[in-house]
Amino acid sequence: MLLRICIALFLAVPIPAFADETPTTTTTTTTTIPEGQVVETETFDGGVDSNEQTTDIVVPETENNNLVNIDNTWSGLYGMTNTHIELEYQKHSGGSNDYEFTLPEDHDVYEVGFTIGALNNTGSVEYTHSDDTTQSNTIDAQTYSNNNTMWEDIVYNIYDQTNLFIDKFVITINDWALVDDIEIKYIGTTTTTLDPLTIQRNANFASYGISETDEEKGIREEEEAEVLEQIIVMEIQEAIEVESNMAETGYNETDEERAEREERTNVVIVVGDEEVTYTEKEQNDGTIDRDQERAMNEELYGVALTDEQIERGDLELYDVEIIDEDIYEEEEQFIDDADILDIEYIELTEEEIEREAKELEYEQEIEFFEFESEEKAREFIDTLIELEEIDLEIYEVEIFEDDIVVDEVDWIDIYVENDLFPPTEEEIQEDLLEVQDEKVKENVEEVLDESIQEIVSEDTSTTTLPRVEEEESIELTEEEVAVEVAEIEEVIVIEIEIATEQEIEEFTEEELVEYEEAKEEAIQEYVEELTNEEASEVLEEVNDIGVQNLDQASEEVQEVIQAVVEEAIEDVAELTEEQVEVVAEVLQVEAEDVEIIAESVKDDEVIAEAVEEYVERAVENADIENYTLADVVTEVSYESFIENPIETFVDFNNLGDITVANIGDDMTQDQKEKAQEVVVPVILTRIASMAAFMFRRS
Amino acid sequence: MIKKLWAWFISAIKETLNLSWTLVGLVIATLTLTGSAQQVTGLATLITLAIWLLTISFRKD
Repeated sequence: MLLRICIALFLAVPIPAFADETPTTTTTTTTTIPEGQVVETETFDGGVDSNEQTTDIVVPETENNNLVNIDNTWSGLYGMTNTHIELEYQKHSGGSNDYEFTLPEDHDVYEVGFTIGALNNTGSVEYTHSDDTTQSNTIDAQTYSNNNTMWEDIVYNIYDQTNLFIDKFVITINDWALVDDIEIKYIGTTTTTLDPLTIQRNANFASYGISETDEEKGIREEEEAEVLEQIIVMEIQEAIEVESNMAETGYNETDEERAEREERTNVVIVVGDEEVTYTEKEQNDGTIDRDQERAMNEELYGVALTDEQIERGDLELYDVEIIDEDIYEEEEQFIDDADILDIEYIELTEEEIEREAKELEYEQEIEFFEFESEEKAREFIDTLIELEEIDLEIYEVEIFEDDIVVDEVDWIDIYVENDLFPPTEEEIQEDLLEVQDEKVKENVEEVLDESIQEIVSEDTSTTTLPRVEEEESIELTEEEVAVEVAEIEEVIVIEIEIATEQEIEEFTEEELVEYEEAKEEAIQEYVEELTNEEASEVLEEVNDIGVQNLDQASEEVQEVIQAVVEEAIEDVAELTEEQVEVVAEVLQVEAEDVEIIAESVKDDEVIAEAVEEYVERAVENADIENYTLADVVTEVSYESFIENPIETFVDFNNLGDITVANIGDDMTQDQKEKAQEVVVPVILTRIASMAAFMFRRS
Repeated sequence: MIKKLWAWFISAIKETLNLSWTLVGLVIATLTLTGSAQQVTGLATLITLAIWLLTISFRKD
């Protein structure tokens, strides 16, 4: 009864009326956008014609695939805008097909979304995560009411799952459907982009050990050139100075040395009333004596003549006559002087007068000396006078010397003839080091040290100078290796469009063969066009990084280097000694072994194959220390033995040419060492086992 | 005759097995060598082995 009443009431009250009266509740969903979120949308509207992809998402192939089509047929309909991709093209039933969309590998995608329209039958989408797990979702069939509403946005988000990302998704459908606006979301990573100057610095540091930009390198080189020029100018200037000073002073010295010497040896003597500076030469050639004589005689006779001039009667030229009475008169004047008492007149000889005069003169000059007694002072003066007399003897000689005509000497010619000028590289080096020392004082030693090394390294081909510092074997850091690899890749330029891994994977067998052939041809062409110098340059770059570090270089670069090595071995006769050394360093053998290898390659298949595969195997065995060509030879030999054991042992091609004396001459030093490491233990083991056997028997 | 040959064959196998480690060493040594040294070592190994096997009975006596 109650139930019936309730039903009657339910029917009597119109429900829409209640609905209208229900208050509206607005639900706000707050979506937090992760910091650094990047959204990429594949609209298929890229390019000039708005029909190219706009992202790196790999979409199902359209070529040779009549089930996929990219066009703008349904633009504005079924949720499509402009160009879109059509899947299960013109197919309406039957078996389902998979359509894979691979997301960019370089992004950790956490959300995928796309618009799918015109899907009449239920389909599915499977998302593959970074840990290879999958998630399958159903895509519901869409009912047609009109072509503006028959579409759906599908979104899949795994942001909340730590360290899990979406790698790809596969749509499985069996009905012609349209897909557009494939959207991916990921957190953008901050890419550290090195500025070009830092790249230059890194490259230059890796190349020749100086961290500098190309511009700085130019400035440094200019400065070095200036320093070098200055040194040469200094050397020339010095030679001129030395020549000039030699002619002037008789000393082989520069101006600076001359100044130093003169400072040390010059004497200042009071002549008359003034101080006169005499050089060592003047001291020796009697100039001082003559000047003193002139001063004395000027005082006596009013004419500045030397004693010798007076002796030979030059006074007459000045109308001066020596009268003995004059002297006496002067002396009488003293006698008449009332202040002087009991003066005994002593008649002096001419010599004694002269001596007295000199005594007076020296007394004036040496007044600053302190003597114990008057006797000592007199003794000192006597010694000076005696010395002076000796000088007078020299004076005679000097006169004789003056008569000798000395030819003007061209010291530069003498220096050139005696290999003293121009300066040798070694002298320049020494001068550079001196300059460097000076610069050290000015706190710029680092720059000059590098410059010297640079000059030395640049001139190694023409000079025998030792390097300032021996290059140390430095293990390169990953960054340095990367820089070196970049340099090698800069040097090696082959004219072929290099396919990406993805492209190679998508190649058909024929295309792959074609691509490989084209690549091989381009490499061969590149290597053939290389001059020996260029090949050597490439190999030097390889040596900088080490063959085993070439794993970071592209496969093409490795192949080019391999080809260059082969070419170098083939043309070893044309290589210079330095170039042979470079090749030897690549193969990690002695320089003299390169020729042996080149000879062996001609008639030994194993060595030929080893050379051919050296770079490839060295890269593969990057973790093995001191992996050399000998190791590759052994490996190839072993493989050959496994393949055909009999042939390896019964391959007696040139047995007739072998003599006891030349056995092993065709082996490289490295190969011999490696063989010794094996052969000697084998012999020892055999001896040990024989000894054990004998012991057991006894 | 066949019986004798068979007996020698069995002995040769035994002797060769006795020499296993030595032969392994010599093979490795040969593979490590190149050129004339390899040829001489290989040839010497084979000749010596042949002589060794052919003189089994002689050595046993």
